[in-house]
Amino acid sequence: MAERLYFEDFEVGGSAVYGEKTVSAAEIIAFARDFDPQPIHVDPTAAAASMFGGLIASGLHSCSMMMRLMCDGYMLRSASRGSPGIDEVRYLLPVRPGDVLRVRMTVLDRRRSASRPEMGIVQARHELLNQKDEVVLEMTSKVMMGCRETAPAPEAGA
Amino acid sequence: MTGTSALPPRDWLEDFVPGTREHLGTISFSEDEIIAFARQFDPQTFHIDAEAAKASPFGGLVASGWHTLAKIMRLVSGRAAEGGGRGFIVSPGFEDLRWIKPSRPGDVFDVFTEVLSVTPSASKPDRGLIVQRFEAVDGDGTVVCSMIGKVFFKRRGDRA
Repeated sequence: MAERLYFEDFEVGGSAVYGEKTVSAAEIIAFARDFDPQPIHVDPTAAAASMFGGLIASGLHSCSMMMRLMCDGYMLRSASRGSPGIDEVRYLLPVRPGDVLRVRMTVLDRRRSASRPEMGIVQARHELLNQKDEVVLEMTSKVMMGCRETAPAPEAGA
Repeated sequence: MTGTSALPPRDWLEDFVPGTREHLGTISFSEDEIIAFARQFDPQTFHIDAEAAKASPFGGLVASGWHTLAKIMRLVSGRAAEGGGRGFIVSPGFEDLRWIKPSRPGDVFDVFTEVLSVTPSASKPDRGLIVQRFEAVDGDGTVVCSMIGKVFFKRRGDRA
């Protein structure tokens, strides 16, 4: 596994692209049946007659797929301590079956926590890209990240 | 997860009145559900491994924040499908999503929605933007998750 990432490794202005994930119609329908059963997400016939001209992923499904790309891209090998929230998510283009998604992460700002010296807060923009390099979704969010200098040595296998 | 079916229909922009607050139902979390969702979308240790999660900053297994939000949206989506929604166009996104307290196995939260503003479009007279706050609230009345959702709806126009 690559070197573990700490707060200090997220430099403002730094950017990287991770992934990829191919989206299937079955996945779109399965997610939407559980969480967002609108016809445009679960019914290919109704979706074909809609303004979208076919099945599209629930916005929250796109967010969730982006989260997985973020996890596999950098978060699982980071000292992440979870997120206090999301500033904004903008749905810019539909995600359709067959789309191939990647995520571009750009560090916007970071600051050490005043109350907890062992961590800091990283603010980042995440853009979900499709196979045409179009930005389909843009998210600005914060994550709490452990610091290297006060962090204990990583456990074996961590 | 339970919904509320006695709410009045909301089909068109005019059916959303600023200040209106509704109880949409409740959401709950089982350990199996938390792990299954996180394995697919958010496989951080504190979401998928109950034993290892004890040593995490959360002190135990917690749901992915996206899972909590998805459960809230299930009630919002159900409200739209069962209680009208004919004028629904699309959501341009959401903002100010706050994960205030994590969701743990066995938790049950009430979900509320409040219409904050309804703004007719200046450029497209057949539609407008609705801004709503969604909240999940625990048994002590503490808001555990909230967000500001945005959605475009068509105006009623000549429709009955």
